[in-house]
Amino acid sequence: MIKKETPWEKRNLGVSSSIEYYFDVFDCIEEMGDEILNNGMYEYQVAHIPVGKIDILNTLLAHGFAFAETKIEIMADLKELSLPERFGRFSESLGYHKADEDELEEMLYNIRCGMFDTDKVALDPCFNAKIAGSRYALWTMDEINSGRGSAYVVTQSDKPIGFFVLKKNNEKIVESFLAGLYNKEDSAGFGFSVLYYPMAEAKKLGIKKIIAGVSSNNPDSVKMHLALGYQVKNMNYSVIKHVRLDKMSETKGE
Amino acid sequence: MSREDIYKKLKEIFEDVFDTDNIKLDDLTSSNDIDGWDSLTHITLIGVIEDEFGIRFGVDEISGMKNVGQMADSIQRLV
Repeated sequence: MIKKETPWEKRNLGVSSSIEYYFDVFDCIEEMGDEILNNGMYEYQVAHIPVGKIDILNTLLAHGFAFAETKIEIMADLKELSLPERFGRFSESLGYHKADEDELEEMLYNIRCGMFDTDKVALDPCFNAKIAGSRYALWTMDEINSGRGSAYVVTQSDKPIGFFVLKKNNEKIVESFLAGLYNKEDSAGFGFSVLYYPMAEAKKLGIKKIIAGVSSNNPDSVKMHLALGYQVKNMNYSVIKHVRLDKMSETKGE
Repeated sequence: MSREDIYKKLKEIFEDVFDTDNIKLDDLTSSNDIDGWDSLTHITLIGVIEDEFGIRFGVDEISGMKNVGQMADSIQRLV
């Protein structure tokens, strides 16, 4: 099991401290001491558990963690990339290009408005879709400012309908980091575009594989990714815990 | 083709695509009312409707369809 402090969540989520635990398939329930089960040091705690490790999942749930999602890691080989026939007719009026400054602002505005309402932060009763949006906007800017991320606008008849962000992990692999349609109701049938164009752009850049992470809370996205040629690589349960630090210190003081 | 006939056929198509019986359709039925009506199913649905009615929607027409009523309007225009 790997522990990782995530101090950036103080800025992103407004929590005073946070930590993430990453379990692997070899971890045993016996090794989980109070340090994880009753850790009062961190206000926001997230644990990722490989699917099938029900004993670890249930132990965490019995110790104040709440189930948030199953995170599905997916990957597509870009060698044989082609747009499935059923989407072909829609692509005639579609296009994409790198976002300029104004388009980046529009993208961030839409993200901040809470368009990712199936995200685990958006669905968390202690947070909401706007906090999730703000977190994604800050995270996206971090990736762009670091030089790893690039933002693109997807257009229909030259009108922006959505965006995607590509993040270069190394020379061979890019991540389809974030993508969305600005107005789902007005863009029926075009949902594939914000997921397919990252693949097309990555291939154009000479990249061989593209990865993405989708949530079980967003089955539409899971289905669309698979229809475009992604395959499931890995799955993890994610559970979260909120700790009232003031309460913890009061208890300790008693 | 009468609107009633269009709805009769649409009901059969919807029940087939969404794999359910006794689906209720009216002009205001939208993707919010039918479980599983997502982007991918929307494209499948459009393909089946076109085949069954022998028509071809324009891309703008498809993206503008917000409910079954608008779908029926387009079908009525094209048959």
